[in-house]
Amino acid sequence: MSEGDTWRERTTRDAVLAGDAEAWRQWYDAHFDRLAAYIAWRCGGLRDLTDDVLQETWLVVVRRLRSFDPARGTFFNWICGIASNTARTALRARTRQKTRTRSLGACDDRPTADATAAIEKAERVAAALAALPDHYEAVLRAKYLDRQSVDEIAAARGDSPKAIESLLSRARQAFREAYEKTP
Amino acid sequence: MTDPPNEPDDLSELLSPPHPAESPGLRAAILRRTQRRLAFTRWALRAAQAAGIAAIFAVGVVVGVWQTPRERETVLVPTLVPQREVVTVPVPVLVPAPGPSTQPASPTVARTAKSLELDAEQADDVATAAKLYRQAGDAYLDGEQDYANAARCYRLFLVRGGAPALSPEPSDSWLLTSLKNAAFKETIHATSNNG
Repeated sequence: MSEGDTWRERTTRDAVLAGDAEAWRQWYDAHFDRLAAYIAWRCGGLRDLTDDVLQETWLVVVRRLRSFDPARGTFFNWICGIASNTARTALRARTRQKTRTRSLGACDDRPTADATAAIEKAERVAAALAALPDHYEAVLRAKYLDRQSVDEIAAARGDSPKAIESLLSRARQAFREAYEKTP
Repeated sequence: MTDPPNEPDDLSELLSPPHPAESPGLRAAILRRTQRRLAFTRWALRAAQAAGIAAIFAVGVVVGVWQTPRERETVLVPTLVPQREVVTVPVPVLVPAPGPSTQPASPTVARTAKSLELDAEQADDVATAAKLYRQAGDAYLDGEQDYANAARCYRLFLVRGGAPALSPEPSDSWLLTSLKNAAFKETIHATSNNG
């Protein structure tokens, strides 16, 4: 992030904390779609989970805005970190709730419909992504969500393409294992 | 270029971005909630600052009230000093003292003013009683700063001692000198009225 971007984000943050509602609205609009896409990807496309995580993420952002330091990273990366933690928490809560529901209705199992299978697949994807270390999740996000090439990822991270290929390979393998382990 | 951007692999199906399907009204609803939250945070911050200032002010008031009585006590002490200076203005009246020279005051260190006064009351001899009343007056004045009893004993000394007792002596205290002056003036005034 350039020095100008840092200065701009610090100015916006200070304006929002000082009570400038218009500054907040512009900042919110500028990042909403991108954040929503990221959260939807992290939640495997589950719409109800995505909405919950999206809403909770923005509320946490507002609550912790004073601790955002533009010198340590961009605003979007900061809110993605919050979204990642929020998604993990929401997924754990959803899993606990699902387990309780299953145990109560064990005798009432019915044949799995296509919709149910799709939901379960999305939950497995979300759980596998939540189980990954941050650097694996970041490189998979750049590759599959942001549609970046290996060279672009390498340039953004300051690594060589070979190192990124290796990292991608290990991240894919970790994802496969996590996906297989997820019930 | 080792890896084209959109080249599909075995994970593309699982990790490709889902179709965007935003819930209607969610964007505006979240914006409203965040704006309310920001406003509340600002209000809470200002309230906390105001409460802090009020608490500091209250502590200052409490400390001030707590310290005030001690300051009053210390102020009262110097007000006694001017009274003593006002009373001790001597009026020099030179009257030759006939008769025997003044005797040095006997040491009464070990005896209290009350015991001296009691001895004076019980003394058979008038001269001895006068002498003891004077010693009692000195003891009241110097030892206890009891001006009322000292003045009372001095007056009894002047009554018992008669005219010779009115003559000023170097060993007289300021109170005795003042009482002698007053008694002398009364005597002069009574003589002039009778004459």
